[in-house]
Amino acid sequence: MKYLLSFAGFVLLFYQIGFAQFDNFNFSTNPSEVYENTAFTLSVELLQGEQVEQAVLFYRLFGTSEFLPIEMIIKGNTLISHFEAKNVIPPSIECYIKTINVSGIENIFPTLALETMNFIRIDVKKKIDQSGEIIILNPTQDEILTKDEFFLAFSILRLSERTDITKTKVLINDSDFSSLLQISDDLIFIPQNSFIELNTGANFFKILLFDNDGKLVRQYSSSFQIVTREQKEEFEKLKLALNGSVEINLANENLRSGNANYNRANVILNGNYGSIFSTANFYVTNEEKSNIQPQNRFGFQVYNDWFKLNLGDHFPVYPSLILSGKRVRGISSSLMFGFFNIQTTYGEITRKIEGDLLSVIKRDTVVLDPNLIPIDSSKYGQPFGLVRFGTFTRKLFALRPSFGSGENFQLGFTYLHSRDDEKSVEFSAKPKENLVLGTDIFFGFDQKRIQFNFQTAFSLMNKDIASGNITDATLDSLAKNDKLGIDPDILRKLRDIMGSFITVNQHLSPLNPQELPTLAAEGNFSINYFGNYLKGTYLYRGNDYTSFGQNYLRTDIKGFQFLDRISLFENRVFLSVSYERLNDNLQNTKITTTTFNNYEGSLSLYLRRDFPVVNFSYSNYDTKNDIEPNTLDSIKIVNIVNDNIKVINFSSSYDLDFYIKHRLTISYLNSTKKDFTYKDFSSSFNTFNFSAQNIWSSELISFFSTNFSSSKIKNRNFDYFSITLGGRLNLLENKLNNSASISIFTGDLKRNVLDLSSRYRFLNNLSAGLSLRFILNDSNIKNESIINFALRYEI
Amino acid sequence: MKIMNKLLLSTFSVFILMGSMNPGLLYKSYTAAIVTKVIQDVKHKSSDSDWMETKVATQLKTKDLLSTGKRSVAVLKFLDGSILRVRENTTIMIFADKKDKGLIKNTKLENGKIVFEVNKQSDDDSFIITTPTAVATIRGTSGLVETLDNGSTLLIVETGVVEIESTGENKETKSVEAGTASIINPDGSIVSTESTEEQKKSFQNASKTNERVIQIQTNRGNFKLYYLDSE
Repeated sequence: MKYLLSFAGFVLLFYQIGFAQFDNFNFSTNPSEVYENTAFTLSVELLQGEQVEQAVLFYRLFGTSEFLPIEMIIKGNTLISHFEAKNVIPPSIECYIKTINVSGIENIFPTLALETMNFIRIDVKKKIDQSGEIIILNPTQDEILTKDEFFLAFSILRLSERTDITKTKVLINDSDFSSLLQISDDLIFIPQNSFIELNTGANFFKILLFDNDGKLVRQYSSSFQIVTREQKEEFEKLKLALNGSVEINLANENLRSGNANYNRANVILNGNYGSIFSTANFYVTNEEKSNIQPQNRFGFQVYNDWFKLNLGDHFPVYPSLILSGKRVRGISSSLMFGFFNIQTTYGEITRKIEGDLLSVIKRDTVVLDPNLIPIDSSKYGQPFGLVRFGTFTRKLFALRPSFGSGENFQLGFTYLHSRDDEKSVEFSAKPKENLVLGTDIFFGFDQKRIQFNFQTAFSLMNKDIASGNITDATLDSLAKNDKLGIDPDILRKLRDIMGSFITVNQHLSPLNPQELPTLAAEGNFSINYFGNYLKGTYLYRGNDYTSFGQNYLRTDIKGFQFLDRISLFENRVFLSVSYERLNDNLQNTKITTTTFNNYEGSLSLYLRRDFPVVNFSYSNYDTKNDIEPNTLDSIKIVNIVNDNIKVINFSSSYDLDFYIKHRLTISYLNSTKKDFTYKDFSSSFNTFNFSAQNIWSSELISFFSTNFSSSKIKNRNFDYFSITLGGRLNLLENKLNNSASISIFTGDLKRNVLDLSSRYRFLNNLSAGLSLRFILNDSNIKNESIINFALRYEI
Repeated sequence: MKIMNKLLLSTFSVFILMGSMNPGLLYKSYTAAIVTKVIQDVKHKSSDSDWMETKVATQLKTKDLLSTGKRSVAVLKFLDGSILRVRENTTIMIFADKKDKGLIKNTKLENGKIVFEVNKQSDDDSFIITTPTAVATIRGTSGLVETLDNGSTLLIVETGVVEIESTGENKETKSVEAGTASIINPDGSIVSTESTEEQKKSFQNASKTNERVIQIQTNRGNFKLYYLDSE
C-alpha cells in the first residue's frame, strides 16, 4: 500500500509538475490538493545548478499585501516549506522565493515576481463539512490486526443521494470482494473471517462508488497491517511502533553554470511508545561546506500531549512578531499544562564563517575603507587589514511562559535575546545584539467562532557590541558637558541594570524611544457565524523594530485590514472581499509618507460535482505618496511614488468522463502595473495555461499542457510559448513505474526539456529510481542535463 | 361516525404528542453503530430479542441495549465515526436517527462508565448522553461519563465543551470545559472543579482498550490469560 501511495504521490508530483512549471523551477504541494486549515508542504525544485545557501519563502494570505517569511529547508536543489494549518486560508496563497547562493547572489523565483505579480499561486479549497464523503469505520489507517480480527465497515451516512450503493465495489489487494458486501441502512460491511487472501504485512483496500448510470463518482483507499497473533502480542507488549525511510540520492548536474555531483542521504524515523511520539530526521549532503551556512540537517523531536522536545535543526513557533519561520540549531522544549505552559529555545541561528584577510595596511597608510579593520599586529606584522567580512556565530535564546490552554484564553509573555559571538571569527566587524520583550493575549468564545488576538513586542538593538558597555569615564564626560542633563550615578545605575540584558553603548537603539520606533503591535478580531467569516486587523510596526528571530518582517508600517468570507448556497459559492489601508513613515524618518490602498475580491464556485470548479479573483493595489508630481525639489522628485496594480486571475478545473476519465484545467492571469510618475516603471504580464490529464487505466496515464506567457517591463517584451506532452506507464504488476515527458519552449525562451523517469520496486519496502532530464537550449547556449539516481528503503 | 372520527383523531393526536415528547417512540430501527472491539464478556439485546453474545462487527440498532461484564470492554463506532468505549459493568441503550446527512445520537447510560470521542460533527449531528441525573450534550471532543454509587453522575471533559443539564429537583444547566470535572447530584445540583490528577488518570486508563496477555506454561500445556492493559 505504501508503494501504491508512493506511486500515487509520484503520479501527482508529475501531474503537478505538468501544470506548475515556471521558466526555471517546478513546484508541487503535498497533499496535491490544499484544503483550508490543513497543513501542507510546498516543494520547489530549482532547475538551475547554483548551490543555494539560504532560501526564504515569502507568502501572502488573501486580504493582506504583506508577504510573510518562512526559512525553507534546502535539500539539494529542492526547497521545502511547511505551512501550518492556521496559515492555510481560502481562496489562495501567493508566494515567491528568495534564494542566496554561495556567491552571495540573490535570486527571486518566479523571476520578476514582484514586478509582474506572477507569484506561485496555491489554490486553497474550502472544506465542505464532509458532505458526500464516506466514513471508514474499520480498519483505521495502518491499523495492526490479525487475520481473524479483520473486518471492513464504512458508513454512507453523509453520502450524496445520487450514488447507487448497490453498485459499490470493494477491492482488497486488487481482488474484488464486492459480492461479500452487506448493507444495513447506512452501514456497509464485510464480516469477519470472510477473507483468506490477506497478506502478512501491508494490505490495502479500495472502495469505488458509482452513480445511477454506473459512472465512477468517488474512490477511497486505505491500508492496514496483518500480523500474527504472536506478533501482535509482542507489539502490544512493547507498545512500540517504528517506521521510517532511508533514501540515498546521487545526482550529476551538467549545467551551463558548471558540472557538479551531489550525494545526499536522508533518514527519517518515526516512532511511538504508547502516547509518546518521536521523529528523527538526518540529512547529509556533500554540499556541506564550512564557508556557507549549514546544508546538512539533523533533527529529533519527542512529544506527547503536554510535552515537546526538539533537538537539532528545527523551526520554533513563538508569537509571529518575535520568532517564527526561523531555523534554529539547538534545543527547544515546551511544557503544556493548560493553566500554565512554558516554552523555551536555545540555539544557533547563524553559523560562523571565517572572513579573509585580503591585505595588511601600515598605520601610516591607513585609508578610509569600510572593509578596513584592526588586526593582530603581532600575528600579521601590521595593525590594520583589508578584509572580506566573515559571519559571526549568532545564538538565540527565547522564553515564553503562558497561562491558559488556548482553547478560550491564553496570556503569554515572550523574552528573546540574541547575540553575535564576537570571538567566533577573526576577520569581521560590528557584532550585534538584540533583545525583544513581548506579550500576547487570546480570547476565544463559542468554540472559537469569536476570537480576539493581540500581540505586542518592543525591541532593543545594539549594532556594534565590540567595544562592550559604555565606560564610567565616558558617562562622566557626558555628564560633565551636561549633554544629557542627568546625574552620572543614575546613568551608571541604568547602564548596570540594562547591561545585564543587553550591551549598553552609543550603538544601542532606539535613540528616540518616545516615538516608539521599536514597538510592534498587532490585533485582530474575528467572528464566524452562518458561513460568514469576518476579520478585522490593526497593525503597527515601528521603523526600527528588529527581532533576530524574524528577520524579514516588514517594518515602518501601520494600518488596518478588513476581510469577509461568505459561504452561500450550501457551501457551493464562496465569496471573499478584503480591504487594506496602510501607511509608512511612522517616525518621520522619510521625506514623505506613502499610503497603500488595496482591495481584493474572489469568487469560487463548486456548483455540482459534475460541474467545473471555477475560481475568479480581482486585486487592486494603489501605492501613492504625498509628493507633488510637479515639485522642483530634486530630492523629493526622486522619491515620488504613484502607481496602481491590477491583477485578474481565473482558473477552472473539470473532471470529464468521455470514454475515459479526463482532468482538465485552465487558468489565466493578467497583471498590469501603471506607473503615473515620470519614472514610468509600467509593466504588464499575461499567462495562460491549459492542461489535460487522461486516465486510460490505472496503469496508463497521459498528459498534455500548454502555456503562453507574455511580459512587458519598461517597454521590453519577453514572450514564450510552451507545450508539454507526456505519459506514465506502470508495468510488472505496478513494480515498474515509468514516465516520460517533453516540453517545447518557443519565443524569447527557446529550449526543449526531456524528462525520463523509471522506478522499480525490488521488494515491498525497497525501490530504486533513475530520472534523467535533458535541457536542449538555444543554439548559442550549452545544452544541460541532470541525472538522478535514488535508492529508497522503508522501515 | 362522528364519535369514531373524534376517537381516531384523539388517538392519533396522543400518538403524535407522545412521539414529540419521546422521539425514541418514533425512531425506526435504524442501524446506528458497529462494535469494533470486544474484550471478555459483552452482551447486547434488541427490543424484540434476548441477550446475545456480542462479537466484533455486531451492528447496533436504535433502542438496542449493550452490557459489559467484569473486566470487559466494548468499543463501538457510530456511523458518523464517533467512538464510545464502554467500560466494565456498564449498560447502555442507544438511540440514533438520521437527519439529512447528520446523525442524532442519544446514549442512555443506565450504569457504569463510558468514554466518548466525538468525530467532527456537522450542523445536522448531535451527540447526547443521558444518565439518571443528567443530560449531557457533547459539543466535542472527548471525555468520560460515569454513574457513581450514590446516584450522582461524574463528567470529566478532556477536550472540547459539554453542555449539561441536571434532571433533579433543582434543575441546573452548565457548560463544562476541557480540564473540568463535574458531579451532577440527584438533587439537580452541579459541582464543577478542575480535574484532579486522579480523574485525569482515570480518563486515560478508561481510554485504553489494549488487551494484554500472560502466557502460563504448565505441564498440561500453555494457557493464555488476557487482560486489559489499564488494569
